[in-house]
Amino acid sequence: MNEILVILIRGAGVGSLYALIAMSLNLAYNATGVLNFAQGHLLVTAGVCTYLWMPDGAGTASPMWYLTLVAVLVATAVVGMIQGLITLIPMRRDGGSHSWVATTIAGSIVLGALITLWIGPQVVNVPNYFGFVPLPDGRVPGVYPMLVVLALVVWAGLRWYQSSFLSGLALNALSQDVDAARAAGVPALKFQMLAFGLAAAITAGAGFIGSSAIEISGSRGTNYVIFGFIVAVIGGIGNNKGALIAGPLFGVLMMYVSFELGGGLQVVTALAVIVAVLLLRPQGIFGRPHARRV
Amino acid sequence: MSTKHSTRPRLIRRELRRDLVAGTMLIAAATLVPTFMGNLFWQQAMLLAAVYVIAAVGLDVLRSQAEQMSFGQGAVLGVAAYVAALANGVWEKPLIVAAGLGLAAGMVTGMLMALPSLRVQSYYLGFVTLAGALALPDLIIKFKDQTQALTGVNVFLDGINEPLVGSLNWLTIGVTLLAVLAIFGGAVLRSSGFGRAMLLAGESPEAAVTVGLRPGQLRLQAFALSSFAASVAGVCYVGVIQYVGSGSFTLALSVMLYFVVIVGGPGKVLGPILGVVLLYIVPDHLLAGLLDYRLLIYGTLVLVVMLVMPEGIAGGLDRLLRKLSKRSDDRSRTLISLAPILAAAPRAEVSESDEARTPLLVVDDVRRSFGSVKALDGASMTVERGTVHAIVGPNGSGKTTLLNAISGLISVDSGTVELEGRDITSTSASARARLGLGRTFQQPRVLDSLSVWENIDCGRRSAHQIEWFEEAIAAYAAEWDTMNSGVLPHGQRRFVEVLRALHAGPSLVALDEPAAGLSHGERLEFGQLLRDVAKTTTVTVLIVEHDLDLVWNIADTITVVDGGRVIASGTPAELRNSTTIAHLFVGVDHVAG
Amino acid sequence: MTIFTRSKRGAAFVTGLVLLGTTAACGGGSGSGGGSGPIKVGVPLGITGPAAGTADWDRMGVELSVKQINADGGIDGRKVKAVFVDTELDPAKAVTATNRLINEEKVDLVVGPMTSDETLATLPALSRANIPSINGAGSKLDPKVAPYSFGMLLNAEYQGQKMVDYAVSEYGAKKVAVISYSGTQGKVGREAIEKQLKVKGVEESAGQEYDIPVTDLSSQVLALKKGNPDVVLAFPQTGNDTGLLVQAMRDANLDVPVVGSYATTYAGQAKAVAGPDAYKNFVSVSWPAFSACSTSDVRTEATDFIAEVKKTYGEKRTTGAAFDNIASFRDALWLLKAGIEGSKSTDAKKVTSWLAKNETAAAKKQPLVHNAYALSDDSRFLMDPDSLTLVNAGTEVVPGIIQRIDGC
Repeated sequence: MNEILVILIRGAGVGSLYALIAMSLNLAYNATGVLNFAQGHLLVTAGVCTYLWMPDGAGTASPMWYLTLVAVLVATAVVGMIQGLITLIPMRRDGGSHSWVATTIAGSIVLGALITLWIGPQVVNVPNYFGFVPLPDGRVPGVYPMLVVLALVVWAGLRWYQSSFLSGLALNALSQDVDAARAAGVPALKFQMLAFGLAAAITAGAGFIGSSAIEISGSRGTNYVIFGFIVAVIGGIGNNKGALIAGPLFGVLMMYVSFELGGGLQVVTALAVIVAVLLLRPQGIFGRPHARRV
Repeated sequence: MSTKHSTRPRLIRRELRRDLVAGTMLIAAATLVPTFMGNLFWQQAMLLAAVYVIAAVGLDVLRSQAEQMSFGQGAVLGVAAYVAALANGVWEKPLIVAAGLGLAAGMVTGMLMALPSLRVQSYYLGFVTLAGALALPDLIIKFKDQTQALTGVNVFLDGINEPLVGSLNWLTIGVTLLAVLAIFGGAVLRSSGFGRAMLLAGESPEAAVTVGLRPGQLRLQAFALSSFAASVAGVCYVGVIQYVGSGSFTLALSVMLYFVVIVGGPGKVLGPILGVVLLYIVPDHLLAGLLDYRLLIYGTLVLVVMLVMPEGIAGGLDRLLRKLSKRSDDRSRTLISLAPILAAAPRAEVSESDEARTPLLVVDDVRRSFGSVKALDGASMTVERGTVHAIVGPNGSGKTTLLNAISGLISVDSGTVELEGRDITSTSASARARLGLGRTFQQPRVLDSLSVWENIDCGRRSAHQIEWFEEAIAAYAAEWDTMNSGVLPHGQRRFVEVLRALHAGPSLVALDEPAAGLSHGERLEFGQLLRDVAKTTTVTVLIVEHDLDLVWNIADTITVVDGGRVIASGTPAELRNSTTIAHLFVGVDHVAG
Repeated sequence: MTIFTRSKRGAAFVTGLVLLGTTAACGGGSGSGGGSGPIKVGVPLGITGPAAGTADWDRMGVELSVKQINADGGIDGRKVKAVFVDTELDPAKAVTATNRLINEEKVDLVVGPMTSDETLATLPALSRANIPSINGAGSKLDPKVAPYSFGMLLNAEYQGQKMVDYAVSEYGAKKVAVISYSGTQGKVGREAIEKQLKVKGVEESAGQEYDIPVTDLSSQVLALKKGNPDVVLAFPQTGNDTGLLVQAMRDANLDVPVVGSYATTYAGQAKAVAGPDAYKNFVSVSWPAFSACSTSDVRTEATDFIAEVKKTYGEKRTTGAAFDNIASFRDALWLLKAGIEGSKSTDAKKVTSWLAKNETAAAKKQPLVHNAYALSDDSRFLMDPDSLTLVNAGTEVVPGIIQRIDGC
């Protein structure tokens, strides 16, 4: 019973971290058609900023904690927008529609290298700010439930923004037809950069809140984007609700597999399950079938 | 047939030859110059680069030829390499047997990853293949007793490393030849009808089935080719590195290969070579001395290259060369004209045989719902042989759905479709096309990366082709083959698609709003073509059209559809006075009589 | 050549290519050859990639030894020059990187690579090139695969045995749980542990593994807890996963002693993850050189070395560093120096056979930081297996020197 609780809470927490990355990927994808391979490095960037800027001993009761949060969000969003701009410029030129694969991978390499030059090659650590959830036998760090809450808040916030504001709506549909949007006078590039910035800010929120649950090092960003991508795929690319559900499910599945079968095959088994499910539901477990093409 | 005089297929298209020569020289110089200079380091580095080129050419077939996303190429290479190494180093099989086993294992892995492509596409397929690449190192470790994962496998291949002249050995000769063969193979595939079919099936599976292609099968064939290249690369890898371990084939290798294809220039002969230069030789060798700033400089370099050449290095260099040589960049405004083809049409009408009098197509009480919407609600119609048959109706009346049900792009909930008296209700779209059902789309499915002629000549062709038509277009094949379809205006793209459908030799060709976007002159030409086709052959034309002028002028029979049902059917003359449909066409009373 | 010279352009192109190839072929080092000029040491390390942190320590160690040896008059009167290359911890890259060191830089010696995988991948080329080397492999080395190479680190198999022996003798363990990372070292250590458990007749109540990188070990620890172990034996990769293990055990209320492998002594990392009290009820296997029973038996070689590293590289870069690890890479070059000077040659065969015979004696003459070098004929590990000691990595006797708990 206790074990199940731990697996559920921790699994859902780690999964929510992936869900937040997936939602960031979706946000940029819906506005630009780009799956940002550097998203994981933005998560680490936020972790690095948190590590460097958070005053020693500052907790959730201290105003400095909130100031740091804002600083981390803004800084990461700016990095994300710059990286977005670098990604978008070649795409607007003839024959450059697939250049994003290369520019985002290259972006992640540059970010990773900069992080290593900045903090050195060692992994740095940030304390858990959220105390512990007591269980009958043991406890769970509060960061895990906080990540679940954050994922819910971000999902609801995005939903509200995208249904109540024209700019939100535009973000969600821009990639469908950028040319038409441009013709209709929508400043497409600005919106797309906004999407990258917002996506980076969401990832930064995850990196800040979850800073004690992630490994902060220049060489780890790729792992996070891969798991974010996996969750986005299970949920259906572009579908935030799917990501919100798929993330925790994936997290719990991974935890459960390693508990029952051992950690060595954790990833393999979890992936096998998902591939099997995907073959039954080719558009992602929560994805909608393709619109009619003819 | 006598129609082939100027369309003799070339093994390798002319525009690829320059790049092939350059590519061959690059590969040969890269591996042989260090070899003859006795520089063992560059010899090995270039051989490994050649191995990556082989795998990347295969991946480019998947990526650019079949439009399949695979992050698993490194895993296929890895399995082939690992098995070959085990076979030679541990099971002590002779080299040839080990290579064969490696190839076989790589192919099996590749095909296992390919099977999901029958079900899932785009990013979802990307994920499935990525899962394979992610799992491979774990699996090698899990089965450590079989794979010797704890030590890895050292292979000692003194035979093929025995120097023949200087430091030239069989390994160098073999890998160099295979890399050259790989780029030639890629070019041959790109020049072939098979390659074009693959491309059409990848970019527009629905268009591919209407010319009788089987997209699933083509995808598997693409995966097979790609996996073969990766497996060959894997076997060569063992020769070059002489060691495999659990850490040798991580996801990073698969991502690197994908990266090579995109940065090098997808779909270009030189793409894989230039990609490997920028993404392997530069960071791993040229920048090797930099240590701390290596990755930063390398990443920035790739970003700059992509900013300057968004289409990839090979594409960017092409553009640059064109600019330098001040050649007009293919954007000539030559248009396709149907007039000369029409002029070739025999004026005499074909005599009607008995067979010609039986109806060609019978649609009986067909129903299809999408959710709660009844798109087809018991539609029935009969299409006679050798006629032009038009389907008209207001927007959303179910015209296109009816056409889709006929060509098999959607299944029906109930009712039957018969072609030449044969029930084809449960026949696949591709098989229907092979029975002679051709089709075009509202949005023309024309592939920008192919020439106009390649677009026309990229499907399966049936036995009964329209002879005068084949002769007429054959005369233009060479000219059209130099035209870039990417710059064709919209109306012209429709022509291309119609020509493609006719070229397949159909017994019925279904056209979905073919006149939309055509100029007045083009419409006249186009209407004439359809009439001529129907009158001079036994080909039947089924057309969904908004332009009632056109319909009234060319159709033998008109079927009026509304609310998913057929509400009237008859000759233009019969329908002109029908009151039941008059309200549907308010404002078109100027229709000519 | 006729096809090449058919046209002027073609000829120009080929000339260009040949020139390019020539530049490439001639670029890089001119090579030291034998006898004159500096002695070149090739150092293949995973400077980027998953082990970048450890590689940075190793790099400091080699850099430091080069500086010291040159200040000391070099090797056999010749200056020493280190050439670092990045392997990204990938065996294939290690092979090409080593090949570059051999054929391009023409190095005389090699220190590295860091892992067993990379070492086993590169050994054939090093042997063929007749280059003596000292590597960072902690398992699977013997004179057959490594005729001219030695492993400087603690052998994973001996560590495993020692861990089991201690669990039985000190805690009287009847049931133990084993947790290890899924890399080669972890696997080898685990196999040794399981073998020794059988010898001692102790039950393995649960076994768990995890892939690197890892951020949470709680499901593994929950699985260990199910078996109700008396002791947990841990074979992690670094201090990071050691810290995660401690955290997870704490959160799961699994309050039993832990006996850990050498990597668990990376206290800086582990404490950064699990807090200052990470080593409560925790014993690790370690080198003798950097541990002490009390301030009275602290080795000045070790403390001087720590001070020198800190002075050279600054507080920031050395925070949380495992000084004993840095010292092994530092000592490696000093040992090779002894071998070359002793055998009067850089020939791999001569250097290794001299070292195999005289290492213990040489170790006494050289200013080495570690103190437990001992080679036997059938071993390719520099360290004496009997010198392995048990420490409480969480407690420092003096800064950088941890508390020894056996043999005091």
